[in-house]
Amino acid sequence: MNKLNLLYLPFVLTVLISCKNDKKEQEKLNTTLDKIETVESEINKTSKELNIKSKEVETALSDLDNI
Amino acid sequence: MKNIIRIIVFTLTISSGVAQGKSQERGKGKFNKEKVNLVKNDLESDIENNIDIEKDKVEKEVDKRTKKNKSKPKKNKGHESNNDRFEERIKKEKKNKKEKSKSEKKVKKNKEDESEDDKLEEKVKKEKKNKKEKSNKGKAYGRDKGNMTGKEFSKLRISTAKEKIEQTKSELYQDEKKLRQGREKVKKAKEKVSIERTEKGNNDELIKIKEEKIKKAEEKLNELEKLINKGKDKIKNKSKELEEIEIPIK
Repeated sequence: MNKLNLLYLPFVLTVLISCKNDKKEQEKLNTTLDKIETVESEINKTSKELNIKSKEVETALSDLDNI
Repeated sequence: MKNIIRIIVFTLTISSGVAQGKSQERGKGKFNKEKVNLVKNDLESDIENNIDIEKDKVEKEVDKRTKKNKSKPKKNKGHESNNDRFEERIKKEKKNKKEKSKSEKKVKKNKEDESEDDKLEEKVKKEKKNKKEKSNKGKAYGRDKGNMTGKEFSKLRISTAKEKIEQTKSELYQDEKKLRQGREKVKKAKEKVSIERTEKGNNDELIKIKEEKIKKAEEKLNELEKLINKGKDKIKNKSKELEEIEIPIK
């Protein structure tokens, strides 16, 4: 009986450790993906702003053509 | 020791796989039962419809006969007694019809209720399936990883983000070009207007309008310059952040 318990113990421990590691990796993955998404969103924002401003400049410069 | 652990893990995985298979089979059995019930209901409704059609035919024949009997003159008492019996039969048949129609209506109502219940059950099943599919897509919640691991997926995302950064860099370069060209255009326009002013004087309205246009263009160019500088700083910072991001091991 004691031998059986000794056999089960490492197995249970390995399962617990693997579960914990899985959770940690999951959290890490989520944080990394969140960071990447924030970077992407901010870059998209800046590119959009630039596009809008460049169009405004184009229209203002086209007015100068008639001068 | 390691071998023993491996054996235990192997047996557990096999048992879990077998259990999952059994549960799927049970689900299939339930689905088959539902199908059988649906087919049964359809068959019953078909049979009832056929019976109704035959009854209608019989009734029509009976009506025709009664009309014929009424139209004919009464010759004997024996005939009268036959007619009475015939009328009683018709009345009984009509009563039976009414009762059957009532029962049929009840059955139809029940069927409709059952069909509504079935639809609700199907909706619930579909929602459950969708939830399962979403849950099977990976550990990253709300993100479709496909068959990739966390490491591969995060690497891919980082590479796409870097591509976007490169794109915005090229956009910034083009905007800088535009800014330079714009500045030159404004310079030339200013020179033109200054020459016109010396020729026509300060009071000309056209010159004022032209100067206003030049001012507007200058303002827009300044705003663009500010945005370009901001964008450059942002891109520097974000590319640094991307490089510092830790990729998961698995």
